[in-house]
Amino acid sequence: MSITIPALSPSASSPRQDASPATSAAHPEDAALVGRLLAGDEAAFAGLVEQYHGRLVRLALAFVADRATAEEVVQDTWLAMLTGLRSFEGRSGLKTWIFSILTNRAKTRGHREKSSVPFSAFGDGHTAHEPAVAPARFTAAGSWSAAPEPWIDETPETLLLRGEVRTLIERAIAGLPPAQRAVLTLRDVEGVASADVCNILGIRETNQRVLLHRARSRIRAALEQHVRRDRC
Amino acid sequence: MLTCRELTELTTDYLERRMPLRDWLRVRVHIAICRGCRTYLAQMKQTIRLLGLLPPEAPPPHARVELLASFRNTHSNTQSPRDITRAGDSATWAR
Ligand SMILES: [Zn+2]
Repeated sequence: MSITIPALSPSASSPRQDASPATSAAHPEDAALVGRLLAGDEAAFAGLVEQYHGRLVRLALAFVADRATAEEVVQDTWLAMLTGLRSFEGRSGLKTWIFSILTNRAKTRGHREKSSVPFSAFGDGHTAHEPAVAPARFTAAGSWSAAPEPWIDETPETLLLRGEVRTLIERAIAGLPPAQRAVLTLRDVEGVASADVCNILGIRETNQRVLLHRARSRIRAALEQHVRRDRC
Repeated sequence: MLTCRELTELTTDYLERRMPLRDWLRVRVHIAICRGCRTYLAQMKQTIRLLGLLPPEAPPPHARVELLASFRNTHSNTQSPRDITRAGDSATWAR
């Protein structure tokens, strides 16, 4: 009997490589874009709005309770960004900078409004232990009693083509605790490097990893449940 | 040996490669012989990829219009002729 060892070369084990963090490497395309914005180039700004607006709303929803408030926070963010454009130093990259502005605005807003989600969750995410997989799936000795079944011809792309899967994931993200939701959105949905995520959210790296782990585990579980139901 | 249950708690540390070499090796050994955990790890990666493919919503039309108006406004208010001499000259900004 041969055992297939999956391709897990170190380079394959991280889906999105974090760029080397500390190099204050300039982001030339950001500098060019900022130059155009400062010069009043409307097409450049329209393009930026097209590219970021929906993503900013998605992130804002991790901090505030409803969509209308999220839209307002995003509007504020754009204005703050335009006002602060001159002081943008390019050290962190435009994307990280915009997400930081949004996060600050959204947190402030979240604190102010009673209707908003409590954000004390960010202090330290170590609440009660939340297992990645339901304990019932394991034997007493800790081996799988109900092992996961491969999602055979379900590549991410084919899964996503099915609208109901997208809805399912979006709903699962919306159901995450705020801190998990913010970390997952930045890391996995937006592809922001972990060091930048820590800066944006003001959390420690270990804390970020715990939050990310819990969030990913929950989304995987939601997907598994869905694929299974599909098979029956 | 690492149990399957323990492995499911290490997947993120493993994928982020934030674990001591010794633990990393224990994970590798485990997935080499455990089909369930291989599947689990594959699903975790699929999940991450899927999340990265979620398309954002398009901005609502009214937001587009309002933002462009604010952009024009900000620009005509704050820009002194001295600040930007030639429109589109990013070198001015980059110094
Ligand atoms: Zn196992």
